[in-house]
Amino acid sequence: MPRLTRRCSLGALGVLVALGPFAGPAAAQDAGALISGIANKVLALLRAGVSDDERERALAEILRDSFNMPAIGRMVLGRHWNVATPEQRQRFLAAFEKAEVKAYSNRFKEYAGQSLIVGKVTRNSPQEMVDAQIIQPNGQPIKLVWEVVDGKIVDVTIEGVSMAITRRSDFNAYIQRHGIDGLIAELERRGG
Amino acid sequence: MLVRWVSGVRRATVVLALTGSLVAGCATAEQGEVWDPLETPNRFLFALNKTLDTFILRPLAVTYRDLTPNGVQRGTRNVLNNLGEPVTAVNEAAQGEGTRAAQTLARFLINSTIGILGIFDVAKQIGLPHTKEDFGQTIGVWAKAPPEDGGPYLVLPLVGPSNARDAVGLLVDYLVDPFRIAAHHFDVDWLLYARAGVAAVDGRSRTLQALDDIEKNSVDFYSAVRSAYTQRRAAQIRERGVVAAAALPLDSVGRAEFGLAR
Repeated sequence: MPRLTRRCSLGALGVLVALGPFAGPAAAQDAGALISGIANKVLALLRAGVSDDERERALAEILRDSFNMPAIGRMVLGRHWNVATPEQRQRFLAAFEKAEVKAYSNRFKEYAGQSLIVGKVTRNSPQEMVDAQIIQPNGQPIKLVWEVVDGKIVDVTIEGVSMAITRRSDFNAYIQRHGIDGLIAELERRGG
Repeated sequence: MLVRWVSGVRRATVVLALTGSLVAGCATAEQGEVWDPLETPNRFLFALNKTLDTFILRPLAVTYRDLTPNGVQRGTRNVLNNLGEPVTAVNEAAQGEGTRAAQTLARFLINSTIGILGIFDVAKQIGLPHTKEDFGQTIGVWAKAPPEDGGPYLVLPLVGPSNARDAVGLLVDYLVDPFRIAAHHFDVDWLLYARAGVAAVDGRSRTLQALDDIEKNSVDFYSAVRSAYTQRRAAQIRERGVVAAAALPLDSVGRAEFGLAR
């Protein structure tokens, strides 16, 4: 990700939506607002102390609304997407989404008081990169970059590690051993 | 003496690079995939490391994280960081970052004295934040290749994920480390083992959350770690010169509390 360029001025990070040199104000605000909005929704959810089922339902909604799941699914399947039958693609996307919801739901199960700060937005049409940091109660902040295209999230990079690229490697290795149907079955098992 | 070491390492790098380009001719690497010609032995070592981790390192790291007072953990980390400053300074100089190398040396002098053998990071309070550069990163900065390409991926016994570039880097950092040279000279090698042990537990205690998450949410743990390691190292090489992990002011607008399982 060459977009994650050197940041010389620390002050710039502190501004809520410090616009990058190419940032259109409205668009940049939108991407930053999208991320803050999700963070606030998730926080409200955690504060409400809902049941596992309810949390999962709410997270599934957030995922569908704010993430371009079909695009992410296509990306993480890589070259296998092209050889998959329409039926396999459909089953894969459904299973992938369910497994991701389950994973997020488990992650948010124990709330330990972390907070998210949204930083600068860099526009590099059609992408917008939103810098953010997770602040832990004690310890180093965790650096995040959200990649937004057309108002929907397509990737999250955590400390330089893209979730989409990691997932693609992960799925590719599994498919080589167990085939696409094997992967779909495993994801269905995890999401169920 | 040093020159001989360095030229030896340079030879080793050239040999590795040559072997690399020879084998690369027949590799059919998919775009974005890590080049892993030794996957079978790597997977074996990965499994071996994982077993050792499960039974020894991980329990120690969990105990350390949960039962040691935060102040002690911070002090320990500061001491380890301080012992690493000379090697970082050498690498910063080698990367052409003279100012940062000087700052790192200043940090080392301040923290070793006023900071009582590095227990307290006094230098940070006066505007000299901690930085970390290793020789793997230095090769990455020198190399014409994109930082995702560190040569063949390797899993080192006990050490874990690496690649040709970073393995050579580890060796060079080990060779130039003045504390290793001194401990060796005065015949107190046990100090080095103690330091390595503490560093392993401290380092592992900080990757517990991330690695647990990757293991739980991947279908092929080995491949997920291989990809994450390669990307992380590439980001570190690209971010050269960026002051590490500067926290945003906590009262920023747009702050939202956010949960992550511990």
